[in-house]
Amino acid sequence: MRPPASPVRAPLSPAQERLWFLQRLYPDDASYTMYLVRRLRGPLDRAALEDAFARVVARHESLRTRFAEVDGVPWAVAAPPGTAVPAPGTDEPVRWPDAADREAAERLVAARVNAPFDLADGVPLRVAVIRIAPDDHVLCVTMHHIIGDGWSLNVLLDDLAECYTARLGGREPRLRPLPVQPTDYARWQRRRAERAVPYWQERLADPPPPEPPFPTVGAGETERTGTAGSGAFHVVRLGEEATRGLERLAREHRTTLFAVLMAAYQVLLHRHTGQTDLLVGTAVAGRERVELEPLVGYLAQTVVLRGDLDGDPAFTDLLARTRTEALSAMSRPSVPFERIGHPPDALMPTMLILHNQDTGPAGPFGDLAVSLFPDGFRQAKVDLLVEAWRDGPELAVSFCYDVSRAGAGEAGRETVRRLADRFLLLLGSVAAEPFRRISELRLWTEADRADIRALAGDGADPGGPLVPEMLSEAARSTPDAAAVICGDTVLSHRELHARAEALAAALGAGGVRPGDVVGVCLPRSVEAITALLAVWRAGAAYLPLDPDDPDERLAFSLADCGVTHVITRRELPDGFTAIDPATGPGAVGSAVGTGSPVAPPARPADLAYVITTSGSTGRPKGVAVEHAAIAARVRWMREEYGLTPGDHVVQFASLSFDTHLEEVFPALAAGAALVLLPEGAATLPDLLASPAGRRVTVLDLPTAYWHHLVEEIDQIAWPSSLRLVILGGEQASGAAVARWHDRFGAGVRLVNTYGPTEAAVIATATELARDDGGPAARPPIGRPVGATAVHLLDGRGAPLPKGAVGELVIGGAGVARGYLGRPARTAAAFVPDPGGPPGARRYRTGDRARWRPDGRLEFLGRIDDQLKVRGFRIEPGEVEARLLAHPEVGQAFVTVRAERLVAYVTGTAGHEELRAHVARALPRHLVPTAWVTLDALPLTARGKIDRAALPEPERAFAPADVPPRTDAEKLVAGIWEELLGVPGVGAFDDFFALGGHSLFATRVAARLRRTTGVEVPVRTVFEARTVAELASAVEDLLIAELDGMTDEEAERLLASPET
Amino acid sequence: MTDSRMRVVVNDEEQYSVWWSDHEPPTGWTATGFEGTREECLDHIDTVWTDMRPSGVRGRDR
Repeated sequence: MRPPASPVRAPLSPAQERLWFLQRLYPDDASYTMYLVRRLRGPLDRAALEDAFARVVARHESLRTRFAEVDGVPWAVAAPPGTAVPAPGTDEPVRWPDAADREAAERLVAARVNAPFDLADGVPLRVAVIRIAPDDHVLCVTMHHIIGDGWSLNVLLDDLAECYTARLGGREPRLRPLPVQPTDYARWQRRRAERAVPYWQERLADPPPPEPPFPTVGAGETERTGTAGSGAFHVVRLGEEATRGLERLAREHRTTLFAVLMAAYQVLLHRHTGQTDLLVGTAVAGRERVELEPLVGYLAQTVVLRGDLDGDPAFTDLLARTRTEALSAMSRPSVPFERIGHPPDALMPTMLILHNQDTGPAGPFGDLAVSLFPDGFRQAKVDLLVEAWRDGPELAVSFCYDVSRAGAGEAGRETVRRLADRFLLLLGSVAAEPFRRISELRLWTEADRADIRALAGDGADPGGPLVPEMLSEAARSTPDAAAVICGDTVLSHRELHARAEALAAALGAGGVRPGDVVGVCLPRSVEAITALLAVWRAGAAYLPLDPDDPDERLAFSLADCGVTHVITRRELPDGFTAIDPATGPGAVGSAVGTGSPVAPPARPADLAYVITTSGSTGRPKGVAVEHAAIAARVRWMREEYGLTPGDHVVQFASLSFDTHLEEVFPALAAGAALVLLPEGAATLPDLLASPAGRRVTVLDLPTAYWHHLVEEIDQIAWPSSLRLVILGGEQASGAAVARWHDRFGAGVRLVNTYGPTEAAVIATATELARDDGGPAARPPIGRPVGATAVHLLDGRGAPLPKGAVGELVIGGAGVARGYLGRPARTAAAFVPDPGGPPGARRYRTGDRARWRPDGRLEFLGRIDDQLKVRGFRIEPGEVEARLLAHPEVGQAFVTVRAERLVAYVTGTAGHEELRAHVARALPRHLVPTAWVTLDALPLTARGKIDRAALPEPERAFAPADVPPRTDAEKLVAGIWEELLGVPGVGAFDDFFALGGHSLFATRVAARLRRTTGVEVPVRTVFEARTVAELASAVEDLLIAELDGMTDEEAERLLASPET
Repeated sequence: MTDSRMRVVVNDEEQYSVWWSDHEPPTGWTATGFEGTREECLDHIDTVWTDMRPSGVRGRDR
């Protein structure tokens, strides 16, 4: 043993290092404050309690340990026993505040347990005994987790009680000897942890994306600032019978209640997120050796268990897997995540811990009656922390959630209440039927089932006139109103129909028969609108084609859809008949009425149109949609968009994109006017500024294009008549929605829509209100539109309630007939709909979505759209949402090129600023490594982002190619070389790529401080990842410092040594 | 889902699709008797579903 009177200086255990670092990173975070709060009733001997406390401090090294930093490396420095240890900021070890009543005492306790510790400021321990009355006190001990874990609190209470009791009785306390102290433990644990690194590296390689089992409040709002009071609790109880059942199950499978709870919790997460590979943290006491039992210290370990739920196993099989995983993981010391190449808090959105609940103490506390007292702790360490403990014959289960993630107030409470209810139901189901597959365990509550029914919408088609009939009706009721306006050309409804009729006659004469598919290959024009109507009048369906498509693609689409006739002015490949759109002009203006059909009227199941969609890979497919489907949509749109003969609707979409149907037919059916962009150079802003544009009332825009317009919102001559803007096609940006509302208030309705071509243009819609916008918001895609049912399905086709992620599946009237000539693909995507009428089908979109608490849908990207970079799975939408949350970013698109995550952005934000912005909220592998700023994102003719037109990012720097350029860069590079032991560090080398981790970061900060005299926050070192970025950050700090100095101080600083 | 055994089903309009072998097809759908992996079922559908128009439309020249 060492000599007793000198301070002990020792390294930290790996777990302590991690906490020390987190506290440097988030100095205001109080979530690692540990507390012991007990009510002490009866006569309290103040001197005896102070003496007992002094003895406890003398006994436990941890309670005398402060943390010193030497060159960025933390050391534990334990004062010798007998040294008086005042609490931080005070000169006395124990405070004795008075409280007027119980409520006042609760407030005092809450203030103490929610206060952070500064680890540089003495021993992180505070002790208070709050006096409510002479015989009524509350003991409140708080300490930073770095010196004590949950077990330690029980030890502390036991020892304090024994010392107090002994002192009152005039005897020596009877305490077990302490053969080891925490500093000995830390050294031992460091050696063990080093050996465990390979295990954890392998076990946590390629981690699944962290997904909490609830919609987070804005994808961008994940920034952990450690704001005090970010946690809230919800506690439920599992009944006696189910609790006994779980314990029996554990015994029968030779495992523990913990393993059963962990397996069940993994099922809960899996059934909410669809993930079959998931990570859940837990804590182990780390007291497996008898000599460690009586210690106060941070010996507990946070361990990550990786759940494998693949193949829909029976619960008992999952339990066996969990048992093996738990044994293997919990027998090893854990290693801080950053040591194995992960950010400190990126891997683990959720934890499950089974506690041994002791109100203790084990022995008497003098004559005092000890009971629990409300602690008011409101800190969340992770998105969701589930803690369970036996409470008599029952099991108490507490859910602590981060309100900045699950939602504040009632919304968050409701989300977590539902989750807790589901967990109870699931645990009951596990207890009763553990041999069931995990997909078959009961999980959804009665409330959930009611929700599923209510949210889905009604897919029944009330029927009604088809679109051609609606158009004829409009031509009869408003014959002279303008139908199509293009530049100086104005066509009335009567004229439009007359032209269509003439062209239809020409089609018939040219050999088009009812049931055919006729190509329409024209630019946006009066002729094009006429052609669409003419094809229907001829009893055929139309296939719109892009006039700019190359011959090869055109020929493919025509052949693929069985088209022989095309209304076009362009040359066609051999074997196809071109029909001039101006055929039969003699009929225009003639006395031909609007009521004499060329072909018999369309029937609901007849084909109306075919839209070619280019699949992400392979050949384009022709989606065939029937009249009943588009009629249901047009009816709903006309009603919902409030279209009347006075409206002027811009026809913006290319005809080859099915949005044109949403623009053209509801407007014409309502007797309103279509306003066309004159052929040629005119842009939408040009049109809006023209006389015709000044009367526009409705715009239907691809979301990406709308984002572009919102960026220039003040430069655009928005017509004062504008009353409605409809969006669709991509995730709307919350920032853009906010900006829109700032400009227009409630004056212009903003409607967001979602829908694949396979479900007839749109399937869901919602108004986007001001509340739906904001930097962190992910605006929803809404609820099912009329005659439409939307389900979110799990992997087994079972519908999901609010909060769970599943595939968005659309049933009802809008479901397309299928893909022309593609039986297998049609059968795979259009599947039996058990909720619809007999024989009905529904369309599987391949999109992931979730019902939000407000009953609207949240779009979460494509199921198969996850990218991979260096083995990490990446959801580009998540990164884009974070980028869009930056006030100076207009648009953002993220993709992978050559194994690098590339961000394309518009706006004025600098790349280093953006990188830091993303790094603050997202795991390191989601931080783009290449950046391109564009004036605008290139769009395809359909208004989607044109991936092919995105420029390659600049040639990847072979980092060492660019040597440090400035003095500051040379300084930073030199420090890295020395600390990381890597020669030849270049200006664009990445700190983490060179093997740096958080503890090196603190050392870099210390070295910079010593060299430049400037206090560089650890967070800056952590976020400015390249030499160039860090050097620039240091320069900024230096300038800021100089600004605040006198000239002499500045000169002294600049003349400081080592620069 | 990928591991489950599937079967080919058909509705009154003679439209084909796939359904889980261990679940009864929804009302209005009949199992054709062909079972296999999802891929096998889809390949089979490619060979038997030759006229993709709903049967109700076929007879009427549309």
